[in-house]
Amino acid sequence: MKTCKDINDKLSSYLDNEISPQEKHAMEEHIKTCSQCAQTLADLQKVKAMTSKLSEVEPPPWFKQKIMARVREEAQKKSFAEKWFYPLRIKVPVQIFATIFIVVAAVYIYRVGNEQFKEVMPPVATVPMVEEQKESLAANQDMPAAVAVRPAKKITKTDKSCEGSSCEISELKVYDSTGDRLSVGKGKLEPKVAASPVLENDVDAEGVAPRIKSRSMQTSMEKAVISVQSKQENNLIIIKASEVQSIAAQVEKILAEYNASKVSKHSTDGKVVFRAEISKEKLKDFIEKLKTIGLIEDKVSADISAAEQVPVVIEIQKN
Amino acid sequence: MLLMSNIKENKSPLITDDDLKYVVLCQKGYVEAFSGLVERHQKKMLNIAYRILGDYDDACDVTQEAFVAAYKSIKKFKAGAKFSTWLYRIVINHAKNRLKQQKSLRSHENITDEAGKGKTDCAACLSSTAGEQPDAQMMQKEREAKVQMCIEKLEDEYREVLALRDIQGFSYEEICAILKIPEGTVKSRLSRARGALKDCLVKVIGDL
Repeated sequence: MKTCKDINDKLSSYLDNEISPQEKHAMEEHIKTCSQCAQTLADLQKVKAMTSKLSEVEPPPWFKQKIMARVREEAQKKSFAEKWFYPLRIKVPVQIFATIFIVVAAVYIYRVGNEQFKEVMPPVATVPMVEEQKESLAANQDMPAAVAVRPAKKITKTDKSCEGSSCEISELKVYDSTGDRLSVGKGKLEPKVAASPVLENDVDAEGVAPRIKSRSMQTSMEKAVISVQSKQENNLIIIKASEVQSIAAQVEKILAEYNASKVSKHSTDGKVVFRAEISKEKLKDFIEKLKTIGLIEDKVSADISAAEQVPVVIEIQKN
Repeated sequence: MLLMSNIKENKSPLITDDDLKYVVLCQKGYVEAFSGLVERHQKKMLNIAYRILGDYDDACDVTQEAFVAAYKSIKKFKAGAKFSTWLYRIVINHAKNRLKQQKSLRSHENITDEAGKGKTDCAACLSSTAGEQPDAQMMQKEREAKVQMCIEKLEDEYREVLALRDIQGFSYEEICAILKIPEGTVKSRLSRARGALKDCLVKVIGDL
């Protein structure tokens, strides 16, 4: 026989008819004899009836529309996210192709760029040639300046971008400067002149008529000419005197006294010019000696080449 | 199509789900198909939420949130279960979360639990019983308010079972599926819920 507690536990299921027929029969037998359990069952039946009769609430107006608006908003967010975060089956192949494309493009650009770079390389390529020319010039230090400078003449000839008149002017300057006096600065002249054989080679290879290639080349050549002129004047000694001839006689004596070699004398328009070569050691004393006979302006370079005999030009001008 | 093939393979009686055609369209990306599901289930969802929460505005909010959450995860829905069961579980979970938030908020603010205080019953929203006299309607509404008050005093797990069985009329099987609990648990919870509700109503109303 079941107790009231057991029956009370099953009353809820009894109400819903969720118990076995045997249990149902046993419960009904108990309820017939137990007024307390019968009262509980009656109350539960009333409670169930009350809850089942509770009115339903109605959705507010536009409830569906509001929900759908939020759902659409969510769908748009979703599609935006999908744009940026594609599934891996799409994203991975895209990334692989993009990487391959970048690599191929980079290699292509490098190769094309390298060829173009080589085309603008001549200055670098000339470096060993310059060295070579330096060596050859150093070997020919004792040769006449005209010989050493001759390649400069070729510069002007082979200069591709040289335009007519300016090219000729450059050339004239070089020829003017290739007189005897060029030997004065031949040592310093080497690097400037050295660049020329490269261009000469170019011309030989191409067989093109001489033209100046670029403005920069033209200016560098002009610098070479200026350099030659300045070296010429480095060992120029000017003596200003009222009686040119008597001073010239004294200078001749001093030159003889200092064992000057290759002495030559030119007289023009009341101006006497001596060209000679003097021993390097005696040069300073020689100049001091000259100062005793008149006002002297000397442009003797402090940086005289390593040669034993220094060429000197003495110009005697009328006061 | 995959879903349909799943349905064919599944021998469960739940395959006769009228919602599935809308669900399949939604899963394919047709947003507007979801309005069909909203139309079908909005009232039931709202009433479940209302009986659990006891507040009309909160119930509306929770129902909206539940629908949006359902749409967000509709691709995860598998045809093995009934869609409505899945949907009602979502709304119950949202309602329970809302209750937890409210409880923690009350404990922070030291608000005494006064039944019905600050809550919207929305009398206009309640379905009117046609043919009843105004006095009888008033009495009925008063009684309903008392019943609702007693329901709100129940523990959450009893409240949801009572709402699903006695108010919404779901079968034991459906309740098991919605709450994901065994039938024995449903029966015991329901028994305690009815007993507690009876005791409360006896105190509030007197003789039932």
